[in-house]
Amino acid sequence: MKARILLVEDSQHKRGRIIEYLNSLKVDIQLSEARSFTSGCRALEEGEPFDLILLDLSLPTFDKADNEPAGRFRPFGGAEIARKLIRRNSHSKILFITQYESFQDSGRSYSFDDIHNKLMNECGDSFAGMLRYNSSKTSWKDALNKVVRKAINEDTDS
Amino acid sequence: MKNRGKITHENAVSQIYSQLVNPLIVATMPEDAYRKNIATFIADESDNLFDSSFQKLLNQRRFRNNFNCYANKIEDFFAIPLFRQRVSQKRIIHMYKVLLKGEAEKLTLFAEIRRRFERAFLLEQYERANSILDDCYANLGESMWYLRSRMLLLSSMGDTQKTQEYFESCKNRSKDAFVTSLIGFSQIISDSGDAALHLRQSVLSTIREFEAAGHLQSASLLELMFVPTSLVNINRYESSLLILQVLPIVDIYMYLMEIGQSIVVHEIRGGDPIQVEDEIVRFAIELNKSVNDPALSRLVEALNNVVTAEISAEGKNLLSCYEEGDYENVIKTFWITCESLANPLAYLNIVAKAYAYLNMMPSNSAYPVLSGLLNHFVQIYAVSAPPESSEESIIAQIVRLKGMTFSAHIQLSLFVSLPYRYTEQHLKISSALSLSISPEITPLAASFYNSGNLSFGERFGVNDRINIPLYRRTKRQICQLVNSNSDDALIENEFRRLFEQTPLKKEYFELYSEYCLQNNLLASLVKLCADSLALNTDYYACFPLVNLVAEIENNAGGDIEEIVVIYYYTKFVTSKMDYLLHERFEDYISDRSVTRPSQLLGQVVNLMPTELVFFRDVCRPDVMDFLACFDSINDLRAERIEILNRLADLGAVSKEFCVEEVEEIVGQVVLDAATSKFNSAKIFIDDASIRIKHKDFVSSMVVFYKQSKDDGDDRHTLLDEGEDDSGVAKVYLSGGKNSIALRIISHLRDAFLFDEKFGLAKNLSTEIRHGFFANLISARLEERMLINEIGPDGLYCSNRIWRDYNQFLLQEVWDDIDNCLKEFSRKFNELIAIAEEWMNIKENDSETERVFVYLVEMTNILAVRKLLDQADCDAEKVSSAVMDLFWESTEAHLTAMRNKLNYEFRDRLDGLFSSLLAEINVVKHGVPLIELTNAILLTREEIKEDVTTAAEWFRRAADPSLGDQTLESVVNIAIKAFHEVNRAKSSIDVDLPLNFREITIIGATVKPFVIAIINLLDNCYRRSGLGATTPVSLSGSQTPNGAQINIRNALRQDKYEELQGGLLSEIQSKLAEGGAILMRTEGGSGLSKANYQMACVSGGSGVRVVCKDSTFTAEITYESQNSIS
Repeated sequence: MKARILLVEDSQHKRGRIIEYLNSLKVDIQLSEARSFTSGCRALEEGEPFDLILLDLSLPTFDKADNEPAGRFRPFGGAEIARKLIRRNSHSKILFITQYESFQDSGRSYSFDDIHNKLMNECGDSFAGMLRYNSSKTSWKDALNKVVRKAINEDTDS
Repeated sequence: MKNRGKITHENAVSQIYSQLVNPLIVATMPEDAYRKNIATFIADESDNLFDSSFQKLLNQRRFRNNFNCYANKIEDFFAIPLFRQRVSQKRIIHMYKVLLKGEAEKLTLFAEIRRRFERAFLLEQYERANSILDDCYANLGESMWYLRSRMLLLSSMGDTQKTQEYFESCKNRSKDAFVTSLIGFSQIISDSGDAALHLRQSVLSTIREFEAAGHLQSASLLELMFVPTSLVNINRYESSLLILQVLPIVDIYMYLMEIGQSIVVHEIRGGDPIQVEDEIVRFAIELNKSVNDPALSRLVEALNNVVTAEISAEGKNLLSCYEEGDYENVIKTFWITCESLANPLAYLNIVAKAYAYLNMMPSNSAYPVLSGLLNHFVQIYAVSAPPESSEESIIAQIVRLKGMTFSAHIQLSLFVSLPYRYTEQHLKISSALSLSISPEITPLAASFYNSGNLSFGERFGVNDRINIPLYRRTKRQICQLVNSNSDDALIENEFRRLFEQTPLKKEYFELYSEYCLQNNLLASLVKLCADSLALNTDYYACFPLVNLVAEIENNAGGDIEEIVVIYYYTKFVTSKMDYLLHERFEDYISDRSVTRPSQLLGQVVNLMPTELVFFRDVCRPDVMDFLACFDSINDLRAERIEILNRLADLGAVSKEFCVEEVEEIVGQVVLDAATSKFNSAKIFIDDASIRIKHKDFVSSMVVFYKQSKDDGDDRHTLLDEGEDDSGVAKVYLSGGKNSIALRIISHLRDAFLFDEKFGLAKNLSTEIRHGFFANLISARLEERMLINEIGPDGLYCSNRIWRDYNQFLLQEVWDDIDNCLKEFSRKFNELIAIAEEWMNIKENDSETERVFVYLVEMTNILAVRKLLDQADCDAEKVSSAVMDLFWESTEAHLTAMRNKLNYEFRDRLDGLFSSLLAEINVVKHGVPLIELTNAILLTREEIKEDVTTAAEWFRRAADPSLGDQTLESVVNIAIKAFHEVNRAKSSIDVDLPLNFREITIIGATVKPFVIAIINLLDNCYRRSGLGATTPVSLSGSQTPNGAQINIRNALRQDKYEELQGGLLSEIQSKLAEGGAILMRTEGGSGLSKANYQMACVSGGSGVRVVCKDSTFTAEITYESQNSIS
């Protein structure tokens, strides 16, 4: 059976690069995409559970459209989706993806490590990691590769 | 060797002392050498000799002249540099001990003057207080205490001119700008009805700046002087020990006593140990032998942990009357005896409660200070005003009276009155502080310090008297039942009786909360809390919201009451737990098998109060958007409008409330519909929101500026906390009027640049720099695989895609080509990094390539000063002017950034492609490599477009306001927006003449015009009797002065007959009355609102209605503003 993966990412470029990389892995996956907090939540509510969920940490509330604003920007929209999953006792693995090194919300600042630790605590066994995306480097690919292969029960060294 | 060194050092110090003590040597010693010797003596003299030697030296006039503590007039304050080099805190305490003991008589006199003055001030005997201060001046001269007291007195006496003259003379006489700034802070705190605001915006912000600059001693001194001890958690008074040297002797004495009090409460407060705690305790004990001051004796007792409350006979009488429920007598006795009570403030709570029980307010004009405070406390007990406003007023008084010993008692009264707004620690600290100042505090107040575990009810002062009112008897009964572990049903029954009997619901809520907390009955309390808050929001201060929300979070629930409690918690306590509100809200909706709140509301006929809170306050877009059921932002907005309309239909909210919010939402929809064209500009700084957010700060600074002294060179000495050879302070920071202007500019600049929601850095960071720029510019290279990636080892990886494509190439040839690509990738990434560095903000003179430079220049300061000097200057004007300055710079930087990208970046990028092509050409050894070369050439051209796109990001995005539109656009926007927020309505038949495209509606009137049309469309469906399927048409024609738009709808027969039966005439008359403001909200129908909106478009515009052949027509007449004479 194909492993089901959901990617929730609002940046078209980043989404394209991640999908391109996932496809290049030649693993048997069924990939779904969402572009906002709302469409991410909806994807999770519909159909079979996902084996792996790749969540951009910061998301707009709605999909961006030319003629309509995307609603409130949620600095931790990905974490909000993750909390929803955990509360529903989901067993999906969750990998957070971000391009930021630090974060601000409601007047408070958080470092990458602060957020990493917070998400790790909140997600427990579902936490598959938090990776920093940088299009010029391969490190994010390596991290993603490991998480994907682990999620589909393949040997990570293969 | 070590021993010999030590001996040599001791000998050297001993020799210095011998020189200092010898009048002949001293007489010939140059000033510099003399002072240096004193510094060495203070720092290095052995502990066992220091006190006696220092005492002896103080007998010499020249020696004494080296200490600020003998200053007795403003001109001499801080005239002498401090001794700080290698001076330990222990040594400085010894130094103060000797200095203070030597002035024991003066200090005894000061203590007496202070006590008399404070009492006279509190009892509003201003003439007496004035003469006491005169007496102080004659005998002790000036001190910071004297200046602050004089300022406070003059300000309280209400003689504005005299007060201002006094402030000015103090500042003019001050020779040192640090002292001037202390006077300035004293002035702004004393002479203001909003002392708490100035404390937060002026004093605390200065303290933070000092801390950031490493000036901890200065920060600590400001805290000691101006920040109320237990309101703000401060734990570092000891840092101010060295710097107290700047002050006259009475101030040193007073502030050392405050440091002593901080030791009393340190154990309760926790934190790092106070290094010199024992030293300060010994100092106080010893000084107490020389200075005759009851307050010092009391402090010593507190330091020795032996303080107890001792109530005077008058106090006992008051308490007795209170406990018997004889409230008239409480009030009467208090006012009769307040002059003889040792501490009248100790009875604020019981007197205020007595008033509240009797449903009365204090009006004793003989003692306005006490009456004023009591008024706020009565409001708290009776919950007759929002608790936060009464609380804020009391805090303002606490701040204003910080220099007075009795300020601590007011803090304690505040904490006692609002037990669930403050922590146990607040109560304990405040109780300990009050006890360390006066023995006269009520047994209840004292109990917070003395007894850690109160029995049930003790916290709320339940007693065992016999002759007490019914509700107090019930209270006592409850306490007896609870303390004897009686049956819950019995207890609950008594609570129900108490609720019926007590005139003060607060009392019931607090006692019941205490009971529930102790017996783990929080679910029951959640219900009571939610039901009560739904009826009266101001009850929030009566409930332990923190405990309740913790309980809710720890237990799975799903009741509406829980949501209401969390909502009020996020509103009044902290927004940190928004997530809990969102999650419980989602649970509540899904548990009821609906997807949207409006579906629930549709089923409701009679709303319970908690349901009203849920739909009116909780079901707002920023909560509802956590549900995943909305397709878009407009779908979400439509949901909110549906809820509001339904609430209005049910009569649960007023039409005014509904109309106001609906109009706001429709306005947002209209704005989006009108400005949805693709806009490439990414720089949007919301300066309006920034101005609003920082209005308090700027207002405070404008007041501060007006009160400040223009001290010429505008520099003042601050206290260097580093050390230099001479031990002399030498740091200069700007001050005076220029410094305030600079502070305003710097503060707003920080907000303009770095506000996390509205500032420039957010635009540059989240919209451009963080990946977006690199992503865009790299996209085409990545698409064609022309960029090599960096591997985990930090080295560039080989380009496998192109290698696979060119498998026929010899390995060494490919290696060379691959190296060219690697080098290109490296340089490309470097260039991106350089460009991203341009996109950063620069605030100082550092050598960087950053384009967004924001240095404050003297011309900026002078421009703002010019504005501040104008008589009608206010915060809004100053903020706007400063924002204009920043926008001017920003526009220049945006132009520079576009130019840099369009020219420098593009050229350098093009150069990289040229080099890549040339280098590949060299290493390819004649192999055509057509595909690779074409890919590079194609990318080279395409990427130029991307650079242009990125450059266009660096433009100021349009303001979120509407521009001019054609009349055709206005109608189309209205129809679009109407459908966005009215999902189920049938389509509208539109027939507009072409010349509507030639009629321009100016930007400012577009919104009312659109809203008028929306209201009329809404009216068609709402009033036709045919519902969402009503046939509606819209047509128009040009008129000599403008245009006419007709909106028609079919009518059900009964509606038609109703209109013909008189309703139409009624509507026509109402519309004819015209655009009174009330029509906007109280007109009741969409027609009236539309008529009002059209009146806002232009004077001749309006709406009239006709009805015939079962069709209703609303005619909009638009008269162009140009046609109006």
